[in-house]
Amino acid sequence: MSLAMDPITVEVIGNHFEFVTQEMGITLVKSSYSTNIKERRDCSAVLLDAQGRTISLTAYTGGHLGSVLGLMEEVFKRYPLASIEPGDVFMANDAYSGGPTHLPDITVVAPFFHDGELVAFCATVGHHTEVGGGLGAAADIWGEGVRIPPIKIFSRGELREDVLQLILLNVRKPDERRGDLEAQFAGVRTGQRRLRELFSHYSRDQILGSAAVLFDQTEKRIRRSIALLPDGRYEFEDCMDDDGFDAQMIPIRCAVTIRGDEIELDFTGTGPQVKGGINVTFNALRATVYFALKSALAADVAPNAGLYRAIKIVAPPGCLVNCVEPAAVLNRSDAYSRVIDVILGALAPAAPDRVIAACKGATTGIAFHGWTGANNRYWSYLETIGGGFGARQGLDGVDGVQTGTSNTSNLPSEAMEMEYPLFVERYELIPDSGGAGTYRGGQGILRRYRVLADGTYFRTKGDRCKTRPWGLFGGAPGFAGRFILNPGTPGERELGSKEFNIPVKKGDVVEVWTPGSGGYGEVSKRDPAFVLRDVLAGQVSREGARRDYGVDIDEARLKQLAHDM
Amino acid sequence: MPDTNEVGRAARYRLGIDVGGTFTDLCLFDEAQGTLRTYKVASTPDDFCHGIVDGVRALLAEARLPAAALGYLVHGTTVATNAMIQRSGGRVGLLTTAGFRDLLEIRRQSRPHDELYNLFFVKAPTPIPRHLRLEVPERILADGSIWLPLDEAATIRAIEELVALRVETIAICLLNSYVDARHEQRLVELVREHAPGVDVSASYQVLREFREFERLSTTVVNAWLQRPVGHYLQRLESRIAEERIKTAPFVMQGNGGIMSVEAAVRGPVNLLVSGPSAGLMGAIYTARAAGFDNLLTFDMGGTSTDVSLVQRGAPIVRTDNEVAGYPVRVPMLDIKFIGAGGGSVAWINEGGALKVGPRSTGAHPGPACYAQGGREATVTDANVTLGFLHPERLLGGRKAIDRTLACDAIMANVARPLGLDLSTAAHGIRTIVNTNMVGALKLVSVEQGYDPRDFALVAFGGAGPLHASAVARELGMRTVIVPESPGILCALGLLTVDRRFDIVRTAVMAIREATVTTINDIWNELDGEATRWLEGEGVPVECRGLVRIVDARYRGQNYELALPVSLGIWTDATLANIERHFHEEHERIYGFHSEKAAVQMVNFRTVAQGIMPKPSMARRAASNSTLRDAQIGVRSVSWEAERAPAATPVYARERLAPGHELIGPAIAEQMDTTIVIAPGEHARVDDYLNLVIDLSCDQPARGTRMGGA
Repeated sequence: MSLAMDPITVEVIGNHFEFVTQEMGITLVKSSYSTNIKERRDCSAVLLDAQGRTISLTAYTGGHLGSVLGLMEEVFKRYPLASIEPGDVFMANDAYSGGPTHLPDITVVAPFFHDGELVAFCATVGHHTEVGGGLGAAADIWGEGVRIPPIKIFSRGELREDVLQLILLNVRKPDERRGDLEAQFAGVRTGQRRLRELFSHYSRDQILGSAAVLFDQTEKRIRRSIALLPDGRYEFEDCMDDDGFDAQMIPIRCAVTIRGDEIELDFTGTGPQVKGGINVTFNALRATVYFALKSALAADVAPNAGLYRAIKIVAPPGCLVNCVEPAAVLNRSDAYSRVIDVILGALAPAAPDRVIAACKGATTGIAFHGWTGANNRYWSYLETIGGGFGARQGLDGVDGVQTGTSNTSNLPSEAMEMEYPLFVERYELIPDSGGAGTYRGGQGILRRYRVLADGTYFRTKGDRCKTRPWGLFGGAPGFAGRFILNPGTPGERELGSKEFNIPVKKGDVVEVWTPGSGGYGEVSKRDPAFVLRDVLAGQVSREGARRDYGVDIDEARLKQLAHDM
Repeated sequence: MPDTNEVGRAARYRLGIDVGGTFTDLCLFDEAQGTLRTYKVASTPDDFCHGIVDGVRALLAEARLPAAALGYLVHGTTVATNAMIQRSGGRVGLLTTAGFRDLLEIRRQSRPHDELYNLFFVKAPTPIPRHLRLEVPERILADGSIWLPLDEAATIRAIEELVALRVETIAICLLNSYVDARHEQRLVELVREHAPGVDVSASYQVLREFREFERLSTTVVNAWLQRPVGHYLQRLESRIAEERIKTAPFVMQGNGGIMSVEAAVRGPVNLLVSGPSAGLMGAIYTARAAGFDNLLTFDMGGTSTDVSLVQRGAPIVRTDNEVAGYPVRVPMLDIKFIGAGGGSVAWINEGGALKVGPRSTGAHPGPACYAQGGREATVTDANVTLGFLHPERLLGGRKAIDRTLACDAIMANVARPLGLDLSTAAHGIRTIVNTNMVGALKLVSVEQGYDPRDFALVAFGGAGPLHASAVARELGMRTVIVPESPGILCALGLLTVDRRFDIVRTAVMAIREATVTTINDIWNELDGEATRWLEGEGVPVECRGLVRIVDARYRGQNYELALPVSLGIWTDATLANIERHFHEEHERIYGFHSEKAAVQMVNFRTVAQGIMPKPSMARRAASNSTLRDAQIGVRSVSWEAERAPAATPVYARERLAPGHELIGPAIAEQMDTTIVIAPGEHARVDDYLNLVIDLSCDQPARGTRMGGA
């Protein structure tokens, strides 16, 4: 494309690219069936060029930044570009041969032809709540559900119903899956329709030329941000608690090298892949790295293929963050939450004003299931819970919130109680759980469930129960996470973060304490007025103020303050 | 309180007063003549009542009317919205179920979607600091059973503590109170008893709907607004009485209806976002007169733009609203906000791309052409540079303009850095801002499952009519409507709406398992409450109306569809109808339905309506003046970057009369806006003085017709 592009046409066409993916996303969300896509918006829409490079992306959750990264490569391996025909639609979910990062993320991608030439692809990614597999802890990917390599689900416009039936037979809620897949198909059709309009307004060269300029603009911006950081090699290490099978800790190591406007992240030294499902594929690692670097270096840069050019990633095959078949990957988000912490930790000396202290470092959650009612209906309910978001230069961390790439809402207790034999008894921030520092870490959440039916089971999900989320530049660590069965009773039992099928009966109580986050800067430099404010709010206890900050606050002063503030 | 309805019906003169941050707009309707008179004065933010009184006096003087001639008064105010944005609500304490005092802070635990990559994001601060949020031991379960009885002694201690901490208002929100409000009711009694003089806002009264955080947030916002809104409205009432105006004002709500001051003081949360709602209602009213009822409204102002979709004359009402970062789940008209307007700044980012907005110059220093020291290039500067806006003055001459400064700003900030000529750069700024508008209008349509081409664009706000034809053309729309007074459409809208009050009750039940007696009991309760509200408002029986709505979903879904349902006693046949209707609506909006899945009813809503008299605009007689009489000049306008500017006739809007036809290129100027009619477009003035631009007949401009009427 030697054509010199004028900046106004590029900007206008660039806006249209965004509208295309936004409209695809709206179509997908609107026409989907499951709560996970419709309300939690655990999905995304992507526009790619004929080489499979991302032109525009509407991702509602950060993890989807990379859901299509390896996809086109895998499609092209099986279907050379010249063999793809109008009306074809591909579908895949396999973490090893399909591109997505775990089996629930099903990807649908369709080519777009202009004047007989394949010029673009439209893709939608949806997180499906259930894709088959066993009910217990899977030790490999086969146990995690039905695996779909890139297949043609539509051939020249014809749905291959037999193939779809094969897939639907392997899942527990086929109607729901079908509904969500239809929504994904509708999403790519919207994309194709909008592209047709765009190609009728502008020439092929203007459109493809604009995409090329947009890649360059993004690359230029990210490189400019990298160039502002001092050259050097910056290392960091953290450890995962365990994989749920063995008690052994698993190190995650990252060395960040900055040379001019280039950045390399080397994960050599990270522990080997494990039996439990916290392994991260290379595509998932890439998505995580892009998320972390975009957040730290250029949050508002357009997430297109230009972002990937300036960033080099090295990870030895077979390690936790570049796992090979058949490692289980379902709960990869626990590990990649930590990968983000580690990258930001490594960058801290180079960019102290752009990073944050360790967050809760896992997608902590809990899942209940059981059989209720006269007809013994099976029910299951999983939720992930927010926690501490790390302290920053000039700002305390954020209390009780989702961190990193995950950003799902919780189900209101009133909605949960209506559907399941459970209710929430406490939902509160944990005092002193945010690490002390010039800027205090964010607080973890305590969520206490009361079980109302016998024959209920639950499992714990998470990490960061054996180590604490670290602070930066002298900031103290926050509280670790905990799972407690029947706290304050003779039967009290502290649980691990990856325990399956724990039986409970009516009246039992389960408490989840999500990790807090680390503080930032020397504790001694904290403004005593802030300590006072935190004690007034109960976010720091009086004892904590004395112990962690060396600030004594007497009762009378606190009373006066409560009256005045 | 005077019986406002009696007065309202007898009234010859009705007045709408819309107070914005910059201007207070007044719109006086003369029932006998069917004519409007409008007036604009500067708002007085220190005390908005001053500006109102100034405006009313000036308008009455101009119309030679005594204050007593006003028989009907509706007021639109941003006091509630501003209190939210400026976080200047009252001192509120909260009483909530033990274990949940942090719910207000934890919220739904997710970050806003647009903060996903922001490592420096902060949560919106809560209206109630944590030490003023106290817990009471109690717990009711989802089935209404009491798990833990209310501890009254502890409750009284908590109330006394809040009083000692100087709270003015107490918000009450307990878990599952939407099922059984007994504990909340008892709390209200205890507050009345132990904290006389403290206002109360209880969730079962504000929003009897499930989802605890949203109910809590709505209740807290209501409590937070009670004092500032109450003080303001009471002061306004007394100022109006001092002016010897005999009628009590009504207040505009965000749901597109009005209510009495008394009701507004109790439920100030209903006043949020009422300004844009009034504008939308005004747009619907004028477009209907022009013969259109499928509309996209396009209200482009200085810093922002509001767009919305109207289907068959009805605005879309939604309940999943958020104001200033807080969920407010009372029904509001569905209006999308875009952070771009005439004052939006054009700039070049680090990657070398030309961007327009979201930053705006605001009133000060304003666009470069205002000569108030602004050096940045704005959309207004582009319009002045190209000749769309008058090169020397705006706002009917009140604002002096310097075109040289506009050109300099665009050269320096956009053209030179990008290596473009002035006209290409200015057109570029316009094109980019238009593209953003196109995107927003598309999304509004697609979200509702519609195609913009089936709608007419109603353009208002200072900048709407400047950009409307370009935006509509890009969307493939055929019609643009510019109302007679596009700058005071909100004030007009105030005179066109009914009284409205929304009551909701959550009761989740599968349609096939539901018993009609239970449902009829719910309707009795809701309809009774609605009727009591109408009685309290003094609405005469013949003007009362009730509308019922059910929010339904498929079991397992966590979002609902609102369905209008029948009044009267329900039978099993009613339920079967609703089920069928739900499948149809689901198919229409979401593109699929499932006969196998169980349909659940979730929320039952009754809307109380008090029908108010509407202004009936007189048709204007065709004028014997010619179009040439309306022409006030010719100016050079650059219609396309590649072509030389064309001599374009400029008309005075107020001289345009029914029957006049304009063929683009043409410009029409009026005090509050400038209308652009592009080459090839036809515009005609209808009998209500709307300018209706037809984009479908792409005929070449014929100079011969220009002078003739």
